[in-house]
Amino acid sequence: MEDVFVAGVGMIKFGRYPEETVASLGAQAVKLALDDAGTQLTDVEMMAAGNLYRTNMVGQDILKEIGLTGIPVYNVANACATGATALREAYFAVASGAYDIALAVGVEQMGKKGLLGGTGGGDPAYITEGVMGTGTMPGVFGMAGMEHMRKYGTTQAQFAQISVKNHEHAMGNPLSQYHVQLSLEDVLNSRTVAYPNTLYMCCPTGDGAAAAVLMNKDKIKQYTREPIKIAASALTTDPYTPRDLTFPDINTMTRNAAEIAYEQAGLGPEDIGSVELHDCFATAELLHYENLMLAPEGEGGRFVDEKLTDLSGPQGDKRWTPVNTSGGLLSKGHPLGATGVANVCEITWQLRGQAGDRQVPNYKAGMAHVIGLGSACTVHILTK
Amino acid sequence: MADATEQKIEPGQRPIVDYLELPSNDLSDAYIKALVNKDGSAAFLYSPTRRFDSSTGDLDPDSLQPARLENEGELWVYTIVHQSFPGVETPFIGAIVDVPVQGHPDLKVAVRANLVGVEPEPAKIELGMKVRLRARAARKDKEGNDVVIPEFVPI
Repeated sequence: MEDVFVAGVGMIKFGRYPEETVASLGAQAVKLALDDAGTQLTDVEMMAAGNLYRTNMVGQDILKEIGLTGIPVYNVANACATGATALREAYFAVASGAYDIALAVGVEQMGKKGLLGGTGGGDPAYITEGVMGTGTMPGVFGMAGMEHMRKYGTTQAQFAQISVKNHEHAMGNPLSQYHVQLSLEDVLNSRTVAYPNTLYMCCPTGDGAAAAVLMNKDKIKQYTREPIKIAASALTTDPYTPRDLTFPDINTMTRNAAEIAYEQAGLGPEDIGSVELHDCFATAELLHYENLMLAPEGEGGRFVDEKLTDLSGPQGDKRWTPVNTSGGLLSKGHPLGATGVANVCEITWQLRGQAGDRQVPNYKAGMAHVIGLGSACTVHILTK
Repeated sequence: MADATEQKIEPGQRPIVDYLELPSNDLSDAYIKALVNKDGSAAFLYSPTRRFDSSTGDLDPDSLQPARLENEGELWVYTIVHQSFPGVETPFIGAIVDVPVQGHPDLKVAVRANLVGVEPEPAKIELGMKVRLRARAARKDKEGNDVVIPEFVPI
């Protein structure tokens, strides 16, 4: 396996673009990433495109917008891990030695589609939602948070504080979908969607695109003296756990992916400068502090109380690891297929010292994590 | 000679999911069907299309045997849903209930259902509380059948 480097990244501001198309959104992100890398589309040898709602031929449609170079294109769908899975395909295209330069793009146009799910077709009398519990994402992740409350006494306010933090972080990110400062009271007093998740503890839907240009060692030398290395790329699915087929287990596959990634990179949680993780709901972020081994088992709530994942937290504390400096899914937004690549954009900017007001000092390694229910989890570790 | 497909089927009771068994018109007889693997280490909610034990990867066609769940279980977690899809009545308590498999006291299956008979307020709901299965005709389908749902009530 050859070493793989991030040569360029780009993302458009997440938001709502009803006048655009999936392809035109993706094209903008690709242009930004190519410019950032200082390379041309004609230099790109393969492309992996992640999109969930349309899935078919999205990559080719992007090339129809920006340049039909005839390269191989892979279209990827893997729930909320779609973009990160596309990035991993591009990673392997280079790591295998098959290509020198590969392009990953993630894109989604969700509009105002709510609740991140659907009820399906057929006779509506047989729809189970509302009469047999809930499969909506706010409810599923609400119950995941409830499991942590049950085991460790975590409180709704501790989950809510994560939304306060991520909205505050987003104030420093011009590409965030929302720029709104919220108090703990604002979050707790917003309407309940699925207890313990209130409205401001749920990520928004939206449109967006992000892209990354990857290169092997020989190529990257031609473009930069300060390459960003993909030190680890892990993808896992659920192993069997007793409740999983009824109540999705978002924890085990994340723990497994984190273990694989730390081992691949030869690093530990103490080496990670910041993490972009899958805060689709405030409840989820707290669980992943432990799943990614930033916090000991059961101490996610204490990490919140001590602001150990907050940019404004105790920098001198060796446990301090800012999480979701971009604003996270809760504020930056979560256009499903774009998210996994966007997380890698943020870590790349942190590694380069280009993160502006949200820059983490003395930054040497960062982690990007996403999960998709159903289930898929990716963890990437980037280093310089 | 009448074609079997032309026979008129009288409307009756239909379970909302395959794993809810309705052995008679008396809904108090209803129970939840399961499938248990060979060594009794894993159980699944019944499905007519589940053939293999995915907990171990055992692809023996006889890897799963039919079983039924007890009618009492324990509340594992819940959420109180205030916002759902159009037409879904809220609030409701969506629950995950751990229910033992009959004849396998240490083996439980997680069942997703509504928790009813208790106010949708966190202070009123106790994690770990004992609950009992109740089957109820909740709707009519397009053919006029009563659609029966499983739900849990506190004991």
